Amino acid sequence: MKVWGDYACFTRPEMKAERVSYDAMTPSAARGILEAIHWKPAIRWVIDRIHVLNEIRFENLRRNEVNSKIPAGNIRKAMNGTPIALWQVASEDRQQRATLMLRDVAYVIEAHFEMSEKAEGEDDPSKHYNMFIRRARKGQCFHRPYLGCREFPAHFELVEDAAVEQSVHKGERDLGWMLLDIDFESEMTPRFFRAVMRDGIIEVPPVEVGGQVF
Amino acid sequence: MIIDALHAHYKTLAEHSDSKIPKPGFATARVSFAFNLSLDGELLEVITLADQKGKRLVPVDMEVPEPAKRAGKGVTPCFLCDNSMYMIGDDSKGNPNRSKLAFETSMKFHLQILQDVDDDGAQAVCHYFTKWDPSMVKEHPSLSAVLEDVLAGGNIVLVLDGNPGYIHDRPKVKAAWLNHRNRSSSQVTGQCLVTGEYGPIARIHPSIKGVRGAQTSGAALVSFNLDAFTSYGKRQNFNAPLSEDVAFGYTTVLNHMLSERRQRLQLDSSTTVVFWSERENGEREENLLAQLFDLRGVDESGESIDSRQDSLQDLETTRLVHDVLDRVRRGQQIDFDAMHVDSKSRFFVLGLSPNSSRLSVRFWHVDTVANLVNRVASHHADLSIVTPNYRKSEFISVREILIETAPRRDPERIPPLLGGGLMRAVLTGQPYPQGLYTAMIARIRADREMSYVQAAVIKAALIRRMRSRSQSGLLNELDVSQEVKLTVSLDEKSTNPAYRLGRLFAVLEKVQQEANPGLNATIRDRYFGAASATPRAVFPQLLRLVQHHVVKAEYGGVSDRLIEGIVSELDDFPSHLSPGDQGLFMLGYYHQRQAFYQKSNSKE
Repeated sequence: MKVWGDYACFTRPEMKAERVSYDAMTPSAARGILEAIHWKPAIRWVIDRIHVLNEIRFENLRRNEVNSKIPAGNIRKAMNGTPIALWQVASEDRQQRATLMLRDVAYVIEAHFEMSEKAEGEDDPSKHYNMFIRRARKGQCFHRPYLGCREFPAHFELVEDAAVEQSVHKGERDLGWMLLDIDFESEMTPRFFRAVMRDGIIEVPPVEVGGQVF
Repeated sequence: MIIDALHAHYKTLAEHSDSKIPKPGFATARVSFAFNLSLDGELLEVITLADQKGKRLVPVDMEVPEPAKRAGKGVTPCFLCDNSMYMIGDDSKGNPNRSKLAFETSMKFHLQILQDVDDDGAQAVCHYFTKWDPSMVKEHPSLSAVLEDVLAGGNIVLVLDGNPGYIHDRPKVKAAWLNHRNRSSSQVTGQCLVTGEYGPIARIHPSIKGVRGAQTSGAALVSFNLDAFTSYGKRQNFNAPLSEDVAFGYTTVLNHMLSERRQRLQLDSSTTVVFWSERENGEREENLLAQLFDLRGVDESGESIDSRQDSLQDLETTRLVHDVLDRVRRGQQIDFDAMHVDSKSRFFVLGLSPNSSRLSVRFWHVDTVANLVNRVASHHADLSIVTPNYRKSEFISVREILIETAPRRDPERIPPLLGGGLMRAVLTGQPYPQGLYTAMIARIRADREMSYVQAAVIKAALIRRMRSRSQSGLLNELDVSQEVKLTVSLDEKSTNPAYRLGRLFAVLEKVQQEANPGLNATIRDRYFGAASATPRAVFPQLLRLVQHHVVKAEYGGVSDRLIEGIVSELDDFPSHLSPGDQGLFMLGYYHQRQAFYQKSNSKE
């Protein structure tokens, strides 16, 4: 699947307050894009490879955002009937945050999916495969896929033939440790991998989720 | 990548035997006083370590046990190096209960670490704390002479009477401190996102001091001080797992570079740049690039023009830099080996901006020394334009460019994100931020005069845009209407209408000044803006009026022929000039005026 966009920010976990993007798309962001197009509890997307097509360019931006989150406990109380104020006054809660984001990005995501434990009798791989292909061709999605942050929408296109576009990158480039994905089943532990880009291609190792390797 | 590179630099420096960088568990602190203690803990005298510079006491830097991070109203003692509130239980802030509490906490803290240590210095400290009573402060004979200064602030360290050196440097004391530190290290383990190893994860990182504009108690690069920044229910720095070693390493090396002025550069009031080489003895590379970013002039005799005392740049590097820039301008290759510079080693540039207690990354760039030097040199080559006589040096530093975009050249009014964008463009070779170009044009129109730097920046911006346009085949919004060869000085053969119109305007102004010497307001003050944006509305009238001036002026005939020459190549007066063409207009104006000055100088 080819995805591209004007802006992208794959935020580094260590620099979340003042966002700094990784140099390239993270596997978890790639998974997010595919899940936006088609996902059911029966399947689990696994990213194999990420192709970085365009040159890596950064740009800086400052935005006014809010300070705090509405506590989840308050929402639960409100659902149970306690009268509780559930609003946030944005103008009183201001925080200026800078973002170092990527510009003019284009990636090709190579992935496959596997059936998860929640698959039932009628769920079989070819059914989901066809659903995905159909939706991707038509441009259907549950929500607009995004490049790291919701405000950076992604355009997507299914790559039908085997020939993938050439990247501008040549040679080997070490991108350091990158976030692989979050292990949701064991306390949201982040997992990292050493990302090396060879001729613009990043090989993504399998993720370990709750002790199981995918 | 950023923290990774910083940590690698820390390790490089720490392994270098005579570097001054603190080892884990220690930090550089500013110390003003030393208390001389007897073996049984009596305060014998107070030694003032700080230098008296004029009216102020300037503290000395020394390596001390790492101070605890203090935030909010809590009371946190530091080990063997602290201010008067914790050391003697009093300060000038007038809150005796808090001071007493601070002293008691400090006492318990020191006793906990040092009580069982078999060392005279350690025992002296324990005796001192148990014997000392904060209410004795005012009457104590040793303190009375310097009481005011001590209470005012500044760190105090401890010395054992009769023994050289400080108590915190004694080997057994150091061992006890490191032991304590290991025991109280974080219990949470995880995968460090820099090294990939599993180990204890730091909850809070040491703070970074020295970024201008941030709060003085220090700011944090990795920080999650507000709810909105946390994820998945994790608190504080557990949101970004970094091992304790890495946390110490990157903050220490960043503090080190920020305090050593050699490796930092202040771009404008909100952007601080630090840079370093990956090599162990990278001073040559660092000095070379420091100079390239922040140029000083060198006059004919080879002496530095810059007389500022705080200029840390040595003359040899200055001459090297000028040699490099000359070569690039002439299209020659730079000879790195002759300069003893390792051109293939990597170089890192990090731009930081403060946001009260946090630091944001303005830009980050990694490249080989060779590429960086070439890029900066080509930036200067793009900027080069004929220099007026009043200007001592033809080289323009990045700071100067930024100042020229601000109204009244007030550094506080530089448009905020421009510094970062400009540095990024210089380092990557990409076109300059559009905001820079439009800011310059707007400045020139508002001030109705053009400086050397402004003209240079306009030329550089236009050149780069045309170069990138021809490389990628894209049209851009500035829409420079014809391919123009932008020259350093006046190009009489250029047929670009905007350029010619600028030249024409310069000639018209000159004629007017010759005809009416001592004129207060020339056509530049009245018509410059209109002429550069809507020529058709302005020029016909100006040309009609100029005939009167030509008759009166001294060299009217010469100017008249010049006007004819320029106008003859113009088909028509365009009704509007796009922003790109306005820049060409201003260039033409500048070039023509400079040509007049050169001519009049050669006549004299």
